[in-house]
Amino acid sequence: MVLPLTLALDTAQPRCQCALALRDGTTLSEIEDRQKGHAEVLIGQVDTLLARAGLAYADLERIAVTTGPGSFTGLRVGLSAARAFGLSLDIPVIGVPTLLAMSLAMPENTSARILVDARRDEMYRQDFAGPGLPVGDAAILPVEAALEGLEPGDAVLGTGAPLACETRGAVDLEAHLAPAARGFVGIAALARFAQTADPADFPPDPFYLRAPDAKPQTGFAVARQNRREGR
Amino acid sequence: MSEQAQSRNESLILGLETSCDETAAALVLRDSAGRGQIVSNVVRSQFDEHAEFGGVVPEIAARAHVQWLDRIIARAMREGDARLSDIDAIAATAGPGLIGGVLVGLTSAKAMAAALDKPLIAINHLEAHALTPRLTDGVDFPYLLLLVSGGHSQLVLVRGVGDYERWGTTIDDALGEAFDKTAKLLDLGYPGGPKVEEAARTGDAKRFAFPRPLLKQDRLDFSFSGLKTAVRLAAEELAPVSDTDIADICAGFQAAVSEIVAARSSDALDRFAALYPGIAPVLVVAGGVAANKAIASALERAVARHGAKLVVPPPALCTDNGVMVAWAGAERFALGARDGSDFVAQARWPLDTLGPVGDQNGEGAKP
Repeated sequence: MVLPLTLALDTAQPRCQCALALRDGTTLSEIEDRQKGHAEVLIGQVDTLLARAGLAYADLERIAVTTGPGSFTGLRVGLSAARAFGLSLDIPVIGVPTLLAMSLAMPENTSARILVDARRDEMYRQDFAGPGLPVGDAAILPVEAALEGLEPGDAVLGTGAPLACETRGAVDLEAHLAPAARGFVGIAALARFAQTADPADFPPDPFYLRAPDAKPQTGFAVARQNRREGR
Repeated sequence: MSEQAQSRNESLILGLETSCDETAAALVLRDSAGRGQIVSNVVRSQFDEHAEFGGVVPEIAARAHVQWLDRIIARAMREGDARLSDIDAIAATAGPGLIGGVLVGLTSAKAMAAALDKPLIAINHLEAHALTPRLTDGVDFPYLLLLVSGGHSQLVLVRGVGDYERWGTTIDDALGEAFDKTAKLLDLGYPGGPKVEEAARTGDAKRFAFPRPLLKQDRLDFSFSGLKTAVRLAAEELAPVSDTDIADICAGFQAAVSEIVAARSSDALDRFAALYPGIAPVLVVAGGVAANKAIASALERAVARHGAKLVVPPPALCTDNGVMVAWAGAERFALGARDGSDFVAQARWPLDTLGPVGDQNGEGAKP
């Protein structure tokens, strides 16, 4: 079976990475850990990846990108690049939520809860019955609520896993993952997943899970008399 | 379009603007004689998203940019009846501005440039405003620029592409910000500029003697914070304010800022005339505040006294837009400017830190 040549991008976490899934399903990837500056290295990384594969942008048939949750700026960098690639090359763009993307690197026939530190004493949480098989929606929750229902021995994954192991006796799956997928989205697994995903099910829309910090402004205005007609 | 562009040595440039609260894309065609033509111009204002907050919320702005930009670009291509392969270069605002939004536009431009194998040109938003009158009115270098917007209040000598000398700037609030704060204080709504202008129409500008900060000093800088305080104190003393009070306060405020801006521009024109005795001075006004009619007529009077010419691009090209970015890209492209995909977006990026681009001999820029 010939699969579409797919480029996957992920910049929603403190890592800038991209992967190519070739028509035979094999993958190549470029991975660099960095806190910021994804916007300055991402395109160069893709250039390098394509050069390694002996391919050009025009050869690409699909783009995949993580949509979040994650760094607001980071996920917008990935989405902006992915959507601009899609527009320029007139090819589908597949947006995969970050926790779902992380689940793709899990061993087959394993269920696990993915927990990712969201700061401010909160975690992103989603349960999975297997790789790419979510049980319920992703949510942002106070740490206690994110850990709720975990029994000793339950499998967990993500930056929130160590706390779940420590306080609930859960078991971190990390050691069972390919080294490149530990703590982050496995970018090669994402590229392969996107080769067969239905674009209609995975729109490239940001998935922030957290509202912007903004409050309607009040209290700045002086009091006004009742408006009178024809003053 | 492309065959035309090539045979006539023209360049077709796509410009993206996402540095504040407008998501914009435009196509501009520049001929070998340096004349420009707007091929398409699409702007999506985020007015509704920010209205309840009384000002632009950076994170909300960035979210809207990423959700709309690719569709806005596609529309600019359709309206210009052009294909992406027709484009000669892609220009995007790379700062200064709200960094979350800038990154959306710049990253999109980088990805398009890579995928289409076209040059990328990173544009300073202020330079885009500064060069617009060359597109709209064919103004030659050198000229004076008064940039008055929600984020900037500057007097700049424009010597050439990338070649600027800032003569004055605000030491506190930008002029557009002063309008917004006055509107907010009087509960007039957002955006404040048009609301204050509207309210001032029936007001008595002489009822309040608001200060003209810095005007007695021999410098070209602006200060609006003392004026803002005086407006607040006047309003608080009268509270609850009547419609008449509001009209009078707005009229007094507008009279004060008009006088400040006109006086500063007049001083700058004196300096320009001393520097370039043989050149008829041109004062270009850009930025959203350029749409204010009271300020425009005060500037008309000041310019007339100097025998200078006032150039105010049409309002749609004074506020943020993609045309100005495409045009600045076209000017830079013609001079050989190219930027890499590692270009760093700049939240702050003063105009006078740019350098002259390429060989601009024959443009007559140097004194």
